[in-house]
Amino acid sequence: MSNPVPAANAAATAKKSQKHGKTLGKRIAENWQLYLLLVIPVVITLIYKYIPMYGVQIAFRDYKPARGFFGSKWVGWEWFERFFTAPNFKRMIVNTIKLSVFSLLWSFPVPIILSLAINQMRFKRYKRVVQTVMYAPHFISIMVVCGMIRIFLSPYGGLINLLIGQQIDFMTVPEAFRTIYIASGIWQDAGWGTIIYLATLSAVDPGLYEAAKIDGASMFQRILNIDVPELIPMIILQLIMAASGIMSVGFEKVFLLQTQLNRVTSDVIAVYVYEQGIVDHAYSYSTAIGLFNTVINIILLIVVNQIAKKAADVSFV
Amino acid sequence: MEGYKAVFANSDLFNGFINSVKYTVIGTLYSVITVYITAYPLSRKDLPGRKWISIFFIITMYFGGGLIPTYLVVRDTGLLNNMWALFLPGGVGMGNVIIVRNFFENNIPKELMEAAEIDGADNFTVFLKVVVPLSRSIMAVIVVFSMVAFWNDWFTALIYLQKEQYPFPLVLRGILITTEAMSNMTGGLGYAEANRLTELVKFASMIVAAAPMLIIYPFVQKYFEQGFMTGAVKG
Repeated sequence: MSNPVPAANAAATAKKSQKHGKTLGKRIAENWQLYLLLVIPVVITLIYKYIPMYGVQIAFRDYKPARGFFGSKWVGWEWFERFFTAPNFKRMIVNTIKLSVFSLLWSFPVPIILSLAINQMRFKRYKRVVQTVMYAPHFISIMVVCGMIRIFLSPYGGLINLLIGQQIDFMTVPEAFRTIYIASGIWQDAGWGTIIYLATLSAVDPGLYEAAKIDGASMFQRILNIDVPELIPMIILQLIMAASGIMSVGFEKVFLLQTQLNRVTSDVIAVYVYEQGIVDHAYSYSTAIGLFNTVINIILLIVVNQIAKKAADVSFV
Repeated sequence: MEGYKAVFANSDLFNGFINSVKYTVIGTLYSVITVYITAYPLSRKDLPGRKWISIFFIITMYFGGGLIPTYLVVRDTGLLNNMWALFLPGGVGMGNVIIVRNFFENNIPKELMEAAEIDGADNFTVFLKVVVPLSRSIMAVIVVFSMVAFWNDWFTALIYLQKEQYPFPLVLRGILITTEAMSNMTGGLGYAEANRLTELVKFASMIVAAAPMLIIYPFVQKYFEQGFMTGAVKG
């Protein structure tokens, strides 16, 4: 630090009164270095975020590389119609919705229950160790997680098959796909999900617990009457965020867990977008499907946000 | 030990490991620098136009062009088969920007910055000499988050890079999931021996992929809650 602090307060007041009368132009000129810092982030964001947003219009064009984003022929709703009449359209929509709704229902409550339990731990050391262990899976690559899943479920000496004394190749069983996806998702992210709830719970006044104890409240009553009400606004906030993403199933894990034989349940929109666009180079068609997905997500976000606003007076957006 | 030797003796896996280290180091530098130079100006309440600039960035958190339009822009800017395709299309990590900006606003005393200004320090000096040194704890969190993201990333590489440039997880995919990469390692061995080595390599390479991040994160764990809270105050 190159500067002494003592003079700071007096100086700050002097500076404020001096600043007051300055024109906008002068204030901009004074801060040119701050604008200079922003130049690189703004340029990167313009090129790689805003141009693609504008380029979404190829969903309504017949994109040809030689003609570029804006020179290609206008075809209106053709790609959307093709998607709606595609042979697997219904299956993909149903799979996408089922996978994320079930995923949400099963995984959403877990971090809440875990954080309520961790919050009751009185030995700080032990609590920290528990947290460290529970956060760990979040830092493991999804590739390794999917490798582990395949090894555990392998028909040749995989743990699960040894336990049940069978030789089932679960990766080829369509009925097993959702369970595998959701269970491994909970294993990987439930612990990490407790952070936000634990941070909220740390704001609870410890005196409240003492008072409740003196009044004879059991541990369960303390959790129900002190902790849960404290968490409600955060729970609703998290629910809004999760609900608005219903149509955006995590592509990576589905892609890695998909086999030719479990496609009946594992075919989702995101994988189709990838296959059509990157593998088959059907750029316009793939963009149209992606856009369809995004629009539904935005509608969901707005609807859920409105409901939450009315129901609990919390708003996220 | 035999498994680990086999992992690093295999040129694909070894190459992937070196690539991953390179991408993680450069990607983390890129992301910490861009997050800092975005977050600092946005944390200055006296900056004219601050609100509009913030909106400009925050919009990108909710809207995007999607996979293909982004791919086409990456291709048209000549980044296919270029390492920078892993970093630039992500733009600036806005989640991190918000965490860091709120940290600057709440945890760095205004008086200190103003005192420095009165002593003749310009905005760059204040940023480098006051703000950066006083935000080490939050920087540690951002560094770890970025390292984890780049170390574990494989999808971006799958889309934009070619085989020799693949990071470790993507080479791992060949071993664990499509099982194509193993044949060139076990060629010339008997069936049972090949099988045993395959299993060893699978386990060893998964540990090589997972261990570095598992060793690093406990060091900054105590800052996680703090980071999330300052980040959650204002979305």
